[in-house]
Amino acid sequence: MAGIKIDPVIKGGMELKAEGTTVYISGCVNHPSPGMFIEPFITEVHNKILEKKIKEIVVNITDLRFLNSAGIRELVDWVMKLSALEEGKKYKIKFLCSSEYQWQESSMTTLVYLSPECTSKETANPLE
Amino acid sequence: MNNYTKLRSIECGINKELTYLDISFDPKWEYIPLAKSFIEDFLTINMVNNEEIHKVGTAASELLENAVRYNHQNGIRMSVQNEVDESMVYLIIINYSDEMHAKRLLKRIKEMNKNDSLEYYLFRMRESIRNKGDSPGLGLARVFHESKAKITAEYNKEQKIVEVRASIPL
Repeated sequence: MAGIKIDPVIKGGMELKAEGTTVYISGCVNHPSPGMFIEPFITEVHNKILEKKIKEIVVNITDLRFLNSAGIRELVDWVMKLSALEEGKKYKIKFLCSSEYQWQESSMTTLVYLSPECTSKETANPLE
Repeated sequence: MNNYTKLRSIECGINKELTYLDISFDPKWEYIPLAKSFIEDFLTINMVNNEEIHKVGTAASELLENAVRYNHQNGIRMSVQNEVDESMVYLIIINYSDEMHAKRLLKRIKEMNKNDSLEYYLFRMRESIRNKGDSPGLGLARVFHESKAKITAEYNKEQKIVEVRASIPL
């Protein structure tokens, strides 16, 4: 299956990139309006996933040290947009988290509650 | 009396028997990560474990974002108190606010405290998409759920000062 490739966006203390079937979000998001950078990137990712009929994508946030609530709102927007798609077009998002950042466990668990049929969460380096 | 002196003179319930940190700064967005990092270092010195430090740091950052976003005049004061015996951290944020924003904040906190924290956080997440551009209230809901904080607020109409208190169990 062909993947997607989107040039990295490095702005507002974060880096966003997409390679194959993985989206990487890293850095530290505490910008007052992170949607300025995140929303256009996610829209492009979403459209390419639909165009290439990809059925599962990994969102790797293991190097995302912090994401403020304005940044969480952008992920909520993505999940809601995905949930609203007609059945045949839906794909799955797996959030790959790090146990090093405690906020990821709580924030991503809640985000998955929004749409458990389309999203899941996995910890890359679970604590012993 | 200038705004800073006025903020500093407020009796914000600091119990000096407890370990505490009390900081004041300009309402500049760039200072929020610095304040968060400062608070996390303070808690590290006071032997709060890493998981709890993240929890308090996230809460402090979200509450300060609200304070900076809706600040009416200069000056934000934040106090952190660590009650080792009770395993609690108290965050107290004081800032200037106009009456409209303060009333909205008080109403939202009252509404939040009537709800289950997870249900309320999910509700706010959905609302944040429906009302793009409006204040989503996601930060407060996040502190309420993820930090398990008890949040209260008061507004002094004469001084135009709002005080938000979050009690976070460790």
